[in-house]
Amino acid sequence: MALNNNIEALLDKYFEGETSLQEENVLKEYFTQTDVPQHLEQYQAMFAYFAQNKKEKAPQNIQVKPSKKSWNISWLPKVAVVLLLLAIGYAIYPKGISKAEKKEAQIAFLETQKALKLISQNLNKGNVAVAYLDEFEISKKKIFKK
Amino acid sequence: MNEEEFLKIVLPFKDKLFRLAKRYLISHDAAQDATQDVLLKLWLNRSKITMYKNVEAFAMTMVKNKCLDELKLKNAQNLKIVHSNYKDENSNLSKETETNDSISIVEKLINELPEKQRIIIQLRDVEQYTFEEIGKILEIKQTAIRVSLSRARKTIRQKLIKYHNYGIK
Repeated sequence: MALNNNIEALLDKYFEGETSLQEENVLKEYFTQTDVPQHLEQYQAMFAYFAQNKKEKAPQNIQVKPSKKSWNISWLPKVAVVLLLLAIGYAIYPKGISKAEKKEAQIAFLETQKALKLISQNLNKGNVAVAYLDEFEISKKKIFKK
Repeated sequence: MNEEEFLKIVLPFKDKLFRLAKRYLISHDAAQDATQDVLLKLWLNRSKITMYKNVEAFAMTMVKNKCLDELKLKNAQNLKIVHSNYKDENSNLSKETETNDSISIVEKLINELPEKQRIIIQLRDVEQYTFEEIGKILEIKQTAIRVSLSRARKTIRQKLIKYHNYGIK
C-alpha cells in the first residue's frame, strides 16, 4: 500500500511535469509489471507505449553513408532521349519487306519481262517490214536517179 | 574522418532521429526521407562534426528543422501529409504485444496533440532526454518545456480515462 501511495504521489508530480528522469523510470518500471491496481490501469498503456516506441528502429534502407551510392546519373536523361528518338524512328520507318511481298514482286517482274519480250518480238516483226521498206527505198532511188 | 569513425558517431542515435522525424511527419515514408536527408548532410559536413560538443543534439535539431521545413512546404502546397500508415502500424503493434489495443490508442492520442507538445512528449517520455538537452534540441526555454510537457501528459491522461471508462460503461 505504501508503494501505491508513493506511486500516486509520483503520478501527480509526473502530470505536473516535475518528475526527474529517475522518478519517471520508477513509474515506468512500476507500470510495466502485470498487477497494477484497477484504478491505475489506464496509465499502463501509456507507459507501455513509451517503452515500445523506444524500440522502434529506423528502416534498414536508410543509408548512413551514401557516398558509394551517389554515382552520377546526369547522363540518364540524355540516354533516355536517344532511346526515345530511336523508338520513334523505328515506329515511323517502314518495316522490312515480308516474304509474300517479295514473291509478289518477283511475279510482277516476270510478268513484265514477258510483256516486254512480247513487245520486242513484235517490234522485230516491224523490223522486217522496215527492211522491206528499205528495199523499196533503194529501188525507188534507182528509178529516180535515172 | 573516414567512414568507420562517422558510423561510430552516427549509428547510436540513428533510430532516435527517425523516431523524432516520424513524430513530426507521422508518415513513415516521409520520416525515412527526412532522416536520410539529415544523415547525408551530416556525412557531407563530417569534417565539422567533431567541432560540436553534442553531435546527437545537433543532429536532432537538424531533424527538427528539416521536418518543420517539410511541413511548411506541404502547407504552402495545400497538401496534408496523409496518415496512410496508421492501420499498418496498429496491426504491427498488436501483433507484437498482443496485450490490447489501448497501446495503439496512446499513439493516436499523442499524434493528435499539438506539434510542440507531441515532440516534447517524444523527447522526454520516449527518448528520456533531460530538460537541458530538450531545450538545446528545440531551442526553447526549459520552463516552456515543463509547461508543454505537463499539458501534453494531462491531455493524454484525460483522453485515456475517457476511453477507459467508455470501454467499461
